[in-house]
This record gives sequence, structure tokens and C-alpha cells, in this order.
Amino acid sequence: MKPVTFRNMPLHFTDSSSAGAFDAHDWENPALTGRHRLPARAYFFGYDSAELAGAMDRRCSRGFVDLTGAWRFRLFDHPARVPAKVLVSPAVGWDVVRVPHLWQVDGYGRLQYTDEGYPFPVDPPRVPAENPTGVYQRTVVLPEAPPGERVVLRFDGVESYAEVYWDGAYVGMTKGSRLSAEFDVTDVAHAGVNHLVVKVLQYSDGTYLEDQDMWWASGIFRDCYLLTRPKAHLADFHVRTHRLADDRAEVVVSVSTVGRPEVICEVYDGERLVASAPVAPGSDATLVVEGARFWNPEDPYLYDMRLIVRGGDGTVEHVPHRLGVAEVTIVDGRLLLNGAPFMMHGVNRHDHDDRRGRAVGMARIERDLHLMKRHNINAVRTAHYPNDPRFYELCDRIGLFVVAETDLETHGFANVGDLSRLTDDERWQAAYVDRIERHVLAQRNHASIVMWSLGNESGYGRNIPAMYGRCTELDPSRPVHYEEDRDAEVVDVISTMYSRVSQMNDLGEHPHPKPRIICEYGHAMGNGPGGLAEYQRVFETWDSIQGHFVWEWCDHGLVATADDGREYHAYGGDHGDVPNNGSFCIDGLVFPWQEPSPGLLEYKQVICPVRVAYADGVCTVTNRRWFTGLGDVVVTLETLHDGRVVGSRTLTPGPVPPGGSWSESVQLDVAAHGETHLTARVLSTAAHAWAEPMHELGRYQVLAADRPRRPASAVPTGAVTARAEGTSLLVTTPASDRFTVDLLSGGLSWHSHGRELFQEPPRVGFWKPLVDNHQQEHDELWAPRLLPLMQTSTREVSWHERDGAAIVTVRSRIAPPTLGIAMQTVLTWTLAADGVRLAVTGEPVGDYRDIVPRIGLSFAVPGDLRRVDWYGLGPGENYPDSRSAATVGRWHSTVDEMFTPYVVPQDCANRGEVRWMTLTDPHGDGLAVRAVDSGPFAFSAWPYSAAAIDAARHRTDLVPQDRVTVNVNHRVLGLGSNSWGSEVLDSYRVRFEPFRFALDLRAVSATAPHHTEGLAA
Amino acid sequence: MRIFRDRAHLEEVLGGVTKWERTLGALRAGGRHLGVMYSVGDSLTTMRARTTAFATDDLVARRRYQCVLSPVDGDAAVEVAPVATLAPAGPYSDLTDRRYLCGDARRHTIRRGAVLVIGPDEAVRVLPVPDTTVTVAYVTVEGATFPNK
Repeated sequence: MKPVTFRNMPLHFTDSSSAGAFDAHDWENPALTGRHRLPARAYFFGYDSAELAGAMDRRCSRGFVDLTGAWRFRLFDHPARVPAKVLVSPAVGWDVVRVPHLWQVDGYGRLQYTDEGYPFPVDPPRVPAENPTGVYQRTVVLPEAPPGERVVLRFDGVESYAEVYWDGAYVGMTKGSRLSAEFDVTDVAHAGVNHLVVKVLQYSDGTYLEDQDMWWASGIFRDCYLLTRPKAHLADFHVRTHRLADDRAEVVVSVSTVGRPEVICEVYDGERLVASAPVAPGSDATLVVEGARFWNPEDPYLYDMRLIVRGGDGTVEHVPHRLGVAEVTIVDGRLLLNGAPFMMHGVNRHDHDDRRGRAVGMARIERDLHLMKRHNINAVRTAHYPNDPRFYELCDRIGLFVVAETDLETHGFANVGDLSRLTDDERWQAAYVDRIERHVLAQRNHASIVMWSLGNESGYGRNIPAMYGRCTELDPSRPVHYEEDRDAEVVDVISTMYSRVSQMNDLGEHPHPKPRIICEYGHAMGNGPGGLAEYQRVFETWDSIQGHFVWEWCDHGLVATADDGREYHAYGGDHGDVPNNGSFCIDGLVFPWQEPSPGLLEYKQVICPVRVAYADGVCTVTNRRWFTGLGDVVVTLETLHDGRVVGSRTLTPGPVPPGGSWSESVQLDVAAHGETHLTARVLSTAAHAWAEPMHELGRYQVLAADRPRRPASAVPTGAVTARAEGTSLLVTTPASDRFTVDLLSGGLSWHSHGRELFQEPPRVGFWKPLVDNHQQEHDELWAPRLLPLMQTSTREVSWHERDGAAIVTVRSRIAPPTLGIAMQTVLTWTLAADGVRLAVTGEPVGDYRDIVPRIGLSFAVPGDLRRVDWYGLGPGENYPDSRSAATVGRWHSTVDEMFTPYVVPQDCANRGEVRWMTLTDPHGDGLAVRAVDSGPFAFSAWPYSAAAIDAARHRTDLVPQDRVTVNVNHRVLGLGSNSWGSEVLDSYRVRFEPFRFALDLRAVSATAPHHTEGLAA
Repeated sequence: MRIFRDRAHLEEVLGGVTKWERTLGALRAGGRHLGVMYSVGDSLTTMRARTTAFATDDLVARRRYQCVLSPVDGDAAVEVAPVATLAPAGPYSDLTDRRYLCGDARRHTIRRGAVLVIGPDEAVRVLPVPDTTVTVAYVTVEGATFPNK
């Protein structure tokens, strides 16, 4: 299709078919980045009045016509199969879709997920000939435009290649899926009924530059609209701010115009005009703001800037901009904002909605950002493409640093052994530079943007310095990041991804002259990440480390419905897509339904901006914010005796400055017996759009005292009677509890209060349902050794009576099939009138001493024992290397509530450092477990079996069973984040080595009041 | 502990494995700041500096990243001992992957261009030889499959 020639085109347009290196279709020519697309510019709107401008509602801007909503749509399997007539007139019988959307999410074509591999043969710049092509038609009814008014058609996101037709005339073409594109349609648009057609190809040469780790999906996925501009109008503006003094700032404005209008810049602080100046095109206007209040993410103060544009024909256009006074500099290798150092506590965020894919609405985006703020996050990396233009406005307003990345990733070339192939190919340079140019021009006026990022995982080559050059030419005021410039040859901020804790320490200890960030770490796939606290301690040790960004914000699961009507979330392979990377896209801190995972709660705590410590009767509160004081912070202190709150008080630190500390003497009421904990909850009294007053910033706890417990009063319970009968040992207590021991297997049954407490007898085990973050350990260590298949073979069961109890000793070998490695275990059951004590020892056989998922005991109890009470770490899920958000206390929940609904079911619900726990039915009857000499234990209780959880690929694969699976673990392996990144830290490794632990088990009853006191001991 | 005659010898014995290929790359790398730590993928961190920058009072053992040292412009001296024969001078730290130990150790001279590889069950102490520059790399102990870039 050849473009038609426009009769006239007073606005500048690009037709960059300059290079002759490629002569194929427009969609297979990287030298051609667009046809007739208007130059990129800042995202702004013109309004007819100051009042309208003040509202900043683009729907009220000049000539705004919303083009979202219903469009006629048909998907063709080849661009050449699109009939020419559909470009000219409305088609009959086409489907109607709601734009913005991704057509695959709406059921056209097929969704596919790959992390890095291209879903077609790599043959750049060629893409599949059978290139799915969606054609959108829409009738646009327009009023008569004022004389000289220009009509502009704008798309904020179309993937991946779009040709635009208006009443059959070719308007232009654009590539760069996540970059805005504008076309001047003045000469084709007319009053009355207009026929707008957009032809969208799924693949183009641009696809090779858009190989981000996400669903392959296409369409008009962001808003599109019309706007008009007066004959003489503002074409673009650029505003920079400089800190002149603590209370004085300079605002430098430059503009480009069409038609020589007069431009005046005004800056308001609320209703008060604080500065104004005329702005001449081609030269800077400098305004000085006295008493300036600077923008930062903790105090995102914005001024109202207005550009008043007066044309010679009497038209006046008001262009508003929310201005943050923010200046980023690098001094002596440190990033400074308005002269102050800072650290970015960040996340990587993809656009994702579990019902709409990347066609994410602003309400969802805003909730994402609010959730970040509520979880102490102060920075977001737009991984790995520009966002909706309104995203940056929100970040300005809410207060988030933005690492503003452009739409570039060629990761799939790693699969052909040359990640840098396109990045080092000059024929692709125009496409690379186009992507940073349009991005910077569109977003550079936003205070929230702390640095530019040239893209992600595209290797290194000549096109990177070219991008850097253009980026700094357009915005000399901000530093530039690109992780694959690993030694920071050209970029201003050096960066790595997934460097381990000790590696970050190495890098911090011997710093590079340029500031450093880690742009991805803490891979949050499934249960995890673990080890964030250790990372944070390293980050905070070294001044040169100024940002860290967890991968990633949200799971990319898409809602699907099972045969029984229940919803689950789909991932790679669920749509028959081959190849795929399975659930590698389910790796967020937030579930697809936009609720926090336990990993996000952990992250919130480790980056809590207020630290509380207690030592020697003094409580110290430290401000870890970078820009603001603690005037809004209160700290509540609770004293707990064996988990019960016995006292509380509130501290008000006052306006402690950034980095400062405040101390207060605190006299603790220390328990005469048992444990005394001090728990501090840090609250902010400030009200925000994203949080109510008194929202919690974090919590801390210290064990202030651990004194010997009061000896339990001896209650005469009598002696059990024991007798062997066949292959069973029968033991009866004076209270009529009956134990039966299988003298062949060693299995124990326990009949108490009219029922069997064990639906499955306790067994020692080392396996638990695989978590994503252990997949590599599974593949390298556990699967080859068949650890998931370990079998128990009981070699000997013996028993005797002593001190009124029956003592049963069970000697077993727990080993995988086919191999010689094993754990020799000895379980010693003491079956007494008041309950059971179990002592377990293990001694390994063979040469395997590496890590195992756990060492513990598993059994099943009746299904109605669903209430759970415990004294230990809670209330939420916690693991040895992910427990910062948990405190020791008395908690209660239910088996169902404790089961974390990971998209891919896996081990979950662990509670650590547990002194005792009970599982009871609605009447209060059930089972209690208490730690004895070997220290606290960890437990989890599931409504499913371990095997069912391991086998399930989606939540809907799980069917509740009639029993509760209980795991009481002596040791649990840390989580790590090695689904992509950090292996489990050495201190959290559980090895296949000798072990010893002991537990007390008791039947509890609402009518047996002694149990609570006993358990508290 | 292994001492390779030179990089070619290391490549002959350990080459073909990503982390060792990257180690070789780190030992060959030029144009970097002295005294600045760099990283290569997830496999290793590396720094070129005078031996005095690496010298410690105690022996140092690492559990997750094994130490590789190669003198650049002179001979270097180290002391090495099995961890099991040493007394702890402090606890192991996940933050640094270091544990300081003390006890008797054997002194070795590492010739210019040779490559010393310390095992994860050994501790090493770099002795200050002021005129000698060395390249040190801390290389992951993870196995042959290392999918991260």
C-alpha cells in the first residue's frame, strides 16, 4: 500500500524512509519508523479558559473527541487479505469490540507467553508472512472546525504497527507500540460523518525491539482521541527547574510554536501567582520562585504552571502543567534530588490487568500506585516501556520516583547466540534512537522522572551511545541508565540485575565513580522472595547504592474459567501456546487480582522509613526518610507477656529530620516468668489519597526478657495401661484416650473425645510442595536424587512401660528409590496419661549433605479441626528468610484463611518460631502441639494434601479434602529468589544432616481447662 | 586450592563452563578502574588492585563465592588453610559471604600470570606485597548449569 500524498501539511511530519538498506514492506523496514506521524511532543492539552485549564480534564480541552469505546473489528490472517473497500466504507457484519483492548484477550487469535524467545523464526527484519492483522472501523461525527483549526488524531498505544485511513485516504503509519503517535487529519476530517479505519499488524520489525517478558498480544490497547489546535498554537514546551537555594528555585521554560503566537508562562502556588514571564520561541524564559517548595516523593508538592498562548486571530489557549520543582544532580558519585541524597526503594511494573492484559485502565494504574505508596515503595521502573502519559502525572502527584524506560528489548537474540545483534547494527539505529527520542520528548516535563532508561536486556553496541546522545541532547538535566552498559561506558548510573547479596556488598565496598542501582532483584515468583532483609542491610551500608527494584510488581495471570465455573488465572501454555515460558510471568508482589502477596508485606517492612530499636531501657526512633521529618509519626509500644498484651503506650517523636534519631526512656513491665516482648507499631497520622490517617508504616519487636517459666502444677493423671495384641500395641489412658501403635509400621492412631485425632499418622519427611523459588534446586539436586519420592521403611518397633507411660521406639530408614542415600530415624513416643511426647533423631546415610526443603513431621487431622491458634510469628505467612513483617504473638486464624492462593499452588502458610499451636473444631476440641527442648517449630496446616498441592497447576485443580494436612517442621528451608536470582542464603539452608527435635502433643477440649495454661508455659 | 600456570591452563582444565569462561574474561579485562569492583553476569564480582587492597589480618573463607586471584605485574603471596583446621575469629555473614578465621596456614607464592583458585572449604589471606597488582574474582560455587545471564 503506497501512501497518498497530502495536499498540504502545515504541521511538521516525519516520513523517515531515508535509508535504503531495507526495501520490503513498511512493517519490515526498521529504517522507517513512521509515515506522516507528527513529531513527538510533551503530553498537554489546550483549553479555552483558565477555569477549564485548572481542572485539567482533557475531555474539556479544545476539540477533544474520545475515540475509545465501540469499534467494528475483524481479524485477518494476512495483511494482504484486508479488502480495500473496508478502508473506504463501514463493513457489515463485523464484530464490535471495546477499544482500548488487546484482541487476543477478547478471543481473536491466540495468546502466547514467552519470557524472551520470539514466537516466530528469527529473521530480522522479516516477520511471519501470515501476520495477524486486525482492522478497526469507527464512524466519527464531527462539528464544523473553526477556520484554521488543526485536527489531530492521537493514539497512546497500538501494538505493533498501525496504518491509519480516513474516509479511505491514507493518513499515515506508526510503530513503537508503547509510544504515542499523532497524525494531522485536518485535510481529511470534515463536519458530519467520517469513516476512520486503523489497520493493525501484530508483528513488524518493531516487534524485534519489543521482546519484553509478557504476553504476546496486539491491538489498540491505549486511549485514542481527537483534539484540535488553533491556527497559531503551542507545538511543544520544555520546563526545567533548578534549586538556587533552600527556598529559591529557577524555572526555565522553552517553547516551540506554529503561527507565531505570544506565549506567557505563569506559575501559581494555589491561587497565588508566584512568577510569570513571556516566552519567546527559540529562547529560554527564566522565572524565579521565591520561597520555593521542592518536589520529592515524600512531599510531592506541585505548582500550577500555565502557558497562555495568544494567536494573532484573537484565539487564546490555556495549557496547564502540574510543575514539580525537582532537580537531579550527580555530585561526587552520588545522586542528589534538590541537593539531598536518596535511595530508591522500587519495583518493576508492567502494565497488567487480569481481565484486559496491557489494556490497563487508569483506575487500575492508580490503585497500583496507591498500593506502592501504602507499602513504603518510593520508586517505580516502567519495565520495559513507556506507560500511558497519565501514569507520569499520577507519579508526580502521588510521589514516586520514576525510572523512565523506553520501549526496547531484544532479549530473544540471546537464543540465537547474539544478544547484541540489532543493538550493534547501524541499520537499526534510527529505530533505536526514535524510541528514546519520542519517549523523552513526551515525558521530560515530569518531576517524578529521576532518570531515563534506554531499555532492557538488549545487549550492547553502537546504538546505545547513539540513544544516549539523543537522550541527553533532549534532556541534559537527567542521568541515563541502561543495565547492559555493565561497566557504565556511556550511561550515568551503573546498574546490575540479580546480583546476590554479597555481590552487592562487594560492589558497594569498592564503588564505581558513578552511582549504582540494582534494577532487578528479588524475583517474586510464587512464594517469596526471601532474603530481602539481607539485601536491604547491604544497600543501606553503602552510599553508592542508590536504588533497588524488585522484579516485579504484579503477576501477569489472566482470568480464565474452569469447567465448574470457578475462576483461575492462566499463564503460558494455557492457551495451547507453544513455545511458552509457563508460569514465569507469575512473578509479582501483587496477585493478578491486585491484592498484596506475603512478599509485598515483607518488602514493606524491610523498607520501612522509620526504624525503632530498644536497648537498655531506651527506645530509639530513627528517621530513614530522605526529605521529610517525622512530624506525622507516632509509635505505639505494646508489652507482651508470653504473647498477651499487658500494657501499651504511645510515643510521639516529633519533627525528627531525615537521618536523625529520637530516644525515650521506656520502663518495661518484665514478666516474672516466661517471655516479655516489646512490639512497636509505627503509624502515620497523615491523610493521603492513598492512605487513611493512622496507617501502619511498619512494626518491630524485641525479646526483652526470657525468664524461666513457672513450673507447671503437677496434676495427678494416673498411669496408662498397655498391652500388645497381634501386631498392635493398645494403650489406654485413665481419661479413656486410646492409642494404637502398629508394631510393624510404627504408625500411631489416637482416639480421643470420641474420634480419631490422626486421619493419617505422623511421619517424618523432608519434602514439601515445590515452590517456584526452589525450582533450580529441584532440578539440580532433588529430582536427580528422587527426594520427592522418599519412602519410609520401618526396621524395628519396640516398646516398654516406664513411670506410668508406654514408651514406643520406632526405627526407620527414609530413602529415595534406586539410590543408597537415606536418613536413619528414631522416633520415641512417650504415650502418657496427659498426652504424648515425641522425640525424633535422624542420622544421614550416604554422601548427600546438601539442602532439603524441610525436616519435620506431617500428619492429617479431621476436617473440622479448622480453627488455628498459635503462639509464634504471625499473623501472616512467614519463612526463615522472609519474616520481617511478622512478630511473635498469640494469633488465630483458620486453615482456609491461612492458605495463600498462589496462582500456581505451592507450599505456603508457614508460621515460624512457634511455641505452641492448636487445631480445634467449632466446639474447641482438637489437638495441641508444643515445642519442648529443641526450640520453637514451624507449622503449616492445609485443606489439601501435599501431593495435591504439588500436582496442581492452577488453584482450581485443588479440591478440598475431608481432613487437614498438618506439617510441624523442625527446620524449613529459606525461600531465596532463585526462580531467577538469589539462591537461599547460607544461614537459611537446611541440610541433609543429623538432626534432633521433640514435641509434646495433647488432645484439647473446651471442657479441659488445663490445656491453655499448660500450653502457655 | 589449585594453582594454574596461567589463564590458558585454567581454560584447559575448567573451560567450557559459563562461570569459568566469565572468570577468564574477568582476568583478561582491561580498561577498568583500579580498586573498583565490577561484576560479570551473576557469576562473579571482580576487581583489580594492589595486593594491599585485599590484605587482611585474618584468613577469610567464603561459602558461596570462591576466591580466584591472579597477579598482574609481579608475584603475590597468600596463606591458605582448610577451614576445618582453623578457629573462627567471627561469625559467618550472609551479607559479605565472609568468615574470618585464624590459625596456622601455609604460605604460597603465586607467580605473575598464574591463577589461584581457592575452594569453598578453604580460607585464604592475601599478604601485602605493595608493588604487585592482582586481579581477584569471587566466583559462584553454583554448579555447571547456570541459566542466569
